Amino acid sequence: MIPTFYAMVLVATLWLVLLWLAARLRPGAHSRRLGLVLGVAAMLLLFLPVGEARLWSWAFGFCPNPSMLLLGVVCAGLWQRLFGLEVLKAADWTAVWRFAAIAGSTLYLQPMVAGRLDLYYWGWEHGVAAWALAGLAVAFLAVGNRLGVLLLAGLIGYSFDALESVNAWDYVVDPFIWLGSLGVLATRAAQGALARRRARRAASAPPFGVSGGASPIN
Amino acid sequence: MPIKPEPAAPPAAATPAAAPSPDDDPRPAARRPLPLPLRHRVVLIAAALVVGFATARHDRDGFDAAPVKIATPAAAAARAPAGAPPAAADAPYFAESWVSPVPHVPAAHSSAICPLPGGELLATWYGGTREGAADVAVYTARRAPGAAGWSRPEVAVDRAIAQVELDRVIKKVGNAVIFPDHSGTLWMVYVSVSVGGWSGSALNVKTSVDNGRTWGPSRRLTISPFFNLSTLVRNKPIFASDGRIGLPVYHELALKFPQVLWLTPKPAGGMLEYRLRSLAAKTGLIQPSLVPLGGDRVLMMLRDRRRERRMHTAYSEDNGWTWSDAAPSNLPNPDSALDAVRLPDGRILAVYNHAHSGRENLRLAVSPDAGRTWRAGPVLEAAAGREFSYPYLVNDAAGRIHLTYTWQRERIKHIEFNVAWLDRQLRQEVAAQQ
Repeated sequence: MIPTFYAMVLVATLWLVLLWLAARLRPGAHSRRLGLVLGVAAMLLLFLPVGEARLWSWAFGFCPNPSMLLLGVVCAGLWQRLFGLEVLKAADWTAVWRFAAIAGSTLYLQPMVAGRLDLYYWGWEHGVAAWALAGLAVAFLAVGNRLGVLLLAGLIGYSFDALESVNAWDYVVDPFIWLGSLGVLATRAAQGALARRRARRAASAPPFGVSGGASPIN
Repeated sequence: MPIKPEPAAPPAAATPAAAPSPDDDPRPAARRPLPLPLRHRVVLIAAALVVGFATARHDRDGFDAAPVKIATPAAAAARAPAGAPPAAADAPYFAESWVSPVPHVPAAHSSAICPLPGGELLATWYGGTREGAADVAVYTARRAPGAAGWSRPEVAVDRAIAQVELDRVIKKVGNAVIFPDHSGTLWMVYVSVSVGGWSGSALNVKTSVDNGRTWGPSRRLTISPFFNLSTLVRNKPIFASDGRIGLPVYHELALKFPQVLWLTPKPAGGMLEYRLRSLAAKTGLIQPSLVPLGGDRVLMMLRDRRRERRMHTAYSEDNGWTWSDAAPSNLPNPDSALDAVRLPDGRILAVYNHAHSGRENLRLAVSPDAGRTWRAGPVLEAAAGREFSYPYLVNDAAGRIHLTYTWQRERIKHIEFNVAWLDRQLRQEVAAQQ
């Protein structure tokens, strides 16, 4: 029996990957019908035998607690590919990546830098965890950021024990979204640094070199 | 922060000319106005507050506080049905037996033993062609009251069973411990690995209502934030008078440190809730063994994975909820598991490998001052080039002490003795030294 929430995340992720692959292989062939076919294929892929077990069994063994943030990001990507609708705006994406990077780094790296703290424990304290999630959701919603909706979804999932984990923090951050967010932010930082470097070079270049054809001989 | 009303987002089908293009906005993307309408925000904020309030109300009173009181062995023995007659404690008593039979499996390791009501004993260990092999299973065997031998081993859980019960790929199973809760339900907590080596371990719980003859389905515990990796179990728990069970566990991935897993049973048995207290400041120390000292005090003894190679101790003054810094003891520890119990007269009895490297001997030690100083006692096993390891020590209701350990990585051995035998051995050692 596949846990419902986990199956949703896995199907959505597989579906998104298949849509992305289809777009790469046949750029002009996108249609709603193809999207639907790939969705069914994603569901069937769950039951693909890999060695001695089904694909979902391998994936569930590795990551049984995908966060609501991951589901939201995957669903936003899926929606955009299927219907062309931008569910999350640029500022929402920025907030998602920054939140996941900060929350994941704090949670996963804390034992290495501050062993006396025990942040993960507080995710089992219903009162503390519920108000912390609600407070974060309210803060982001108040400024109109859709990350608040994802945090609210995490809080609702926590209150219904949607995951195998009963720790509240697992509902809003997981290692996949954490590593993904670090990758996105690192890429953005590198791109920003490159752009600034190019701009500095362009500003300091001699005017006769701009056209590209001038040379001291001419 | 005041919330400014914003116009509703244009429909997706609207032409781009109807709304300003994000590319025209000179501000950074993170600061651009967001088209989340005000009424949506208000509804969602109200929903967050309602759900937050409702979820927080589910908090169970008292779970965030230290357990009320830890049951000492004497108190636990008083509750448990009597086994062998207490009179047997007066005369020195010592007996040895093999828990696992000779042709059982090529490799056997990491045993645990649990006294059952009526004087029966139940032991568990894992065995297979080698440690970590796919055919490794967690076995149990029992010894009837008064019997000399153990029953044939039975598989409690193996890779195939765990895979079905946990709905996921399981690569191997490992360390297991068994213990009863306040209702008499027997618990088994065992290690399983889906990815990698022992650092990829996770813990699972099974329960039995017929003293370990049959076991219910496995339930996975999520107690590590990073892919739920690297929590292992080795030693016996402590029991709080409010029913909670404090099981010593440990973490091995990247950093190695002790933890205490607090399990809350349902009134009629089975697991209601769990949560973990990590002691990440005690790096390099694993496989904690907990000993109730009476009152609110608990002693933690630790295996040393650092260069120091000394058994370490830490103390809790609030029933195992918070702990002092760990300090080295005067006993060596060759990076090997150890265990301890509190004797009825208040002394602490430990079993360990008395060396800075290798596991070629197994020895008892006694502490008269709650684990601060130790006096090495009788040697139970010693042979060059051999291994005697992973001891597990328990008291029974009749005052006898039961020890199981790995013998040569091939078999599980059981030793049963009483305090009179221990004191006689200690006296003989003193006489021999004089």
